[in-house]
Amino acid sequence: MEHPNLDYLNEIADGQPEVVAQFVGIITKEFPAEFQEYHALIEAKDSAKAAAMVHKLKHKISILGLVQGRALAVEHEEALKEEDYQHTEAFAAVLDQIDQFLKNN
Amino acid sequence: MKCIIIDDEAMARAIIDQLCQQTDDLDVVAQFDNAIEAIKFINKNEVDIIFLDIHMPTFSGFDFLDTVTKDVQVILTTSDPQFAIEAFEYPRIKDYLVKPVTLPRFLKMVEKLKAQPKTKSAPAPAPTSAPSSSGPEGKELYVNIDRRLIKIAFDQIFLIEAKGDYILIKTHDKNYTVHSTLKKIEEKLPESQFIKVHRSYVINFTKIVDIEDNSVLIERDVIPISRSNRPELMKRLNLL
Repeated sequence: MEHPNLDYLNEIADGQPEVVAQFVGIITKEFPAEFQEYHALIEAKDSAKAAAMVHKLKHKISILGLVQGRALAVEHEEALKEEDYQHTEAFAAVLDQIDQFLKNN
Repeated sequence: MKCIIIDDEAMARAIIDQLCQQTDDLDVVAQFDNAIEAIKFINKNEVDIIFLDIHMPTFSGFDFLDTVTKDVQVILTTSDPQFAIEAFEYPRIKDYLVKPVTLPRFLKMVEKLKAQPKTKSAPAPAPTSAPSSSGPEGKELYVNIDRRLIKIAFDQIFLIEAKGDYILIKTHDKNYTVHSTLKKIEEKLPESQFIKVHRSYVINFTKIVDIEDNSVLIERDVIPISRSNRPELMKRLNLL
């Protein structure tokens, strides 16, 4: 099973810990709001807006090194555009994983 | 080269900014979380390169490209590789970076930019005389809102905005959200008074306050003018 990591951010930061910390600060600030908004949209069965939010979250999933998570996000985004909620549970698990990771960092 | 970054995600902007700092060739002069603010900046400042996210709410990267006429090179940044073909229909787009952008890919883009000459935008056509009046008779239209037919005088409308399956009709007194399309309402409006300036906006030509490059001020709203709609608008202006 894959786990969130900061490999990509470390690479982009060119070995500067303060830059990595800045990145983590931004993602820690942005993610919870998007996480909550996504769940609210799923709850409201607003699949079009939920798909747009998955699109946004997809980038963060990639940044945190979740390759399978990103592939799932792509499928989920496309499915939501067709009002298909089949990946909702699996995707929620990915988001929970990120949420926990960010709380521990 | 002076750059700006347009992306609704702070994280995405921070990454591009950091990548720019790792090369001596790019200087980030401003960052924007929406394209409208960026247009205002571009109209007043020199910019060589724009890092542009495609997928943004209300005003997408492609809307932005349709609107901006200034001579500037664009690098698209997106999580969707499938937009690549559409992207290269725009001559100003010099590269296409798929997020998350890696440093080697970014540096390759910089080399490509340095090797390319800047594009020149086509000048706007010279204004000519105004077209003759045409379109529906009458001075008002009726809209169906909650099973009530509400009369709106043409003179009261200053703009109409497309919002998905709805249109927003803005008047002096209030705004009306109606289940319709821009195309349908255009057919009901007098051509002499209304003009489409963007795929999402029809404006009352007589309510224009001023026009600045590729945006028009109507009452208190700044509306983008797309490249394809600009010549028709320019034709209508009684220019001195």
